[in-house]
Amino acid sequence: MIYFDHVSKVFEDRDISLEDINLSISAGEFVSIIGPSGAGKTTLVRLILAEVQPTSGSVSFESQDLSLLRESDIPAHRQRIGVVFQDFRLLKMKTVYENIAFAMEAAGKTDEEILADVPYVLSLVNLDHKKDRFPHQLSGGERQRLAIARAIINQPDVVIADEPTGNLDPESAFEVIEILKKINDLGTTIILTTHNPAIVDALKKRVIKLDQGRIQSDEAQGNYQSA
Amino acid sequence: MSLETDFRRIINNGIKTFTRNSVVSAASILIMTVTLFVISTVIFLNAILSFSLSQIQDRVDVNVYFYPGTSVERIFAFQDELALLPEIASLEFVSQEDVLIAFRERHAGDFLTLQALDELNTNPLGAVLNIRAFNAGQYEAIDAFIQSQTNLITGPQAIIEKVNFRQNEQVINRLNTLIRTTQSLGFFVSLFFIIISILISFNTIRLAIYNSREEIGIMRLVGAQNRYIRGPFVVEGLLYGVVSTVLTVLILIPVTLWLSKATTTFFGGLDLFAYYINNLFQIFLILLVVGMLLGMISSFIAVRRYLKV
Repeated sequence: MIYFDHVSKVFEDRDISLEDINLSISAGEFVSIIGPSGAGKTTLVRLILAEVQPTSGSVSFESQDLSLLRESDIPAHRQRIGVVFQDFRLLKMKTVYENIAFAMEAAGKTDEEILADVPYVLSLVNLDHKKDRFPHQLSGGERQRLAIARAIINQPDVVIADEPTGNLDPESAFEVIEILKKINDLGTTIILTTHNPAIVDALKKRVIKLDQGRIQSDEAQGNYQSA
Repeated sequence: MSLETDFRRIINNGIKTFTRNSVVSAASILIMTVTLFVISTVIFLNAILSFSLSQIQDRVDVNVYFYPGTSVERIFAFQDELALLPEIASLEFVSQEDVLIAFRERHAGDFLTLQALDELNTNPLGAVLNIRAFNAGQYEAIDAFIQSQTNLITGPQAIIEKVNFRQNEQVINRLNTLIRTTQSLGFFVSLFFIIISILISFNTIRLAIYNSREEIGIMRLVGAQNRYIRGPFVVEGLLYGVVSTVLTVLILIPVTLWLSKATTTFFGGLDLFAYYINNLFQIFLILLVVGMLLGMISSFIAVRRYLKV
């Protein structure tokens, strides 16, 4: 589903961020990408989102080479991917309900679909009783659950979670991972970047370790130590 | 999704951000109100200027003095000929008797002059024809016409003793230059102030949107189309314009009322408040269009920067 073919990325103001990455992620996989800060995890995610383009090599989403996407096709591409960030990136001027509704509006969903799906997803992440709150009125865990709800509302093919537990206490972190596992069980591909060994070990799923922009290991059922 | 739904959502989102972001909205409205106030001041200044200029222009005329004893018929014949000139706005005949009366009134306290006048048995003053043109630049042509009537000016048939255009010429020319300079100067000064205040408004809106740059980035990551991100900001800008216009129009009521009390005599009789009320609809419309365009275009341009994620 996602293919990296000899991908390198050099940022002008930094050293090499990614170097010669070859990688393929199949539909339905749960892949954890680990590695120290600056290893290139976030760059990998940004490449999949077509937020940045590779310096050399190509990134493809299904059969589409992302470097060939036109500016006007990028929104449609991003609608197929749900993203969860460490810093939540919620719309602070919108309520819980509106944050999710906005993602649906952006995807061109009808009012009826929005009315039906938003409450359902909110109950899935257990936020239905806080739908009129603003993000700043939520705890860290609640915000991340909201971000997940927003990421999955349009039934994307892939959910990318970039350090989703970085700002959470262990309990909220596990809650978030449980939700991600549930989504994966329903068939959605999950790409998780994390620092947290406990989470990776508990998952028992594919683990890719990055270091200084290179893939160090790629194990089908890895854990933090072995990787 | 239908265009109508899209449009409705954009407007709804714009109104929501406008009301929720009240501090930023208030700041933008305040600055834009100042801009619109400057623009309305320019409108008023123009009105005052053209009113004062027309007042001054009205006071300029050319007078033809006839010899005492000239028959009224000949004067009227000349007057009829003058009336055919397209430059003539009005002709006013003042008879010998009226000139004398006016003279006596003017010198009511001057016994010596009146005594001298009384000692003459005849009226030494001739009739006068006051000529007014549509604008100050036309007196030259009128004078040329009069000067071409040589048989009326020289020789035994002469009836015209004097035309005071030559004396007035310098004043008229100066006035002409003054009017033109004031008008173009006024235009440039107005333009300068309008540009400055528009730039300030534009920058305020840019700052307001700079404040939302993160949100714009998030919207893009969620996969929103550019027009769907930009739309609500443009609606917000439009609302700034509408609210600022209403505020400006309301503020101008007491301001013009106060100003007109203080300045009616100074501006040669222009009642600023009456002018404002009489032209309220046009002024409102001008401010509304300027305000809405300013808000919308500023927002449109300011968002563009952050749409390149």
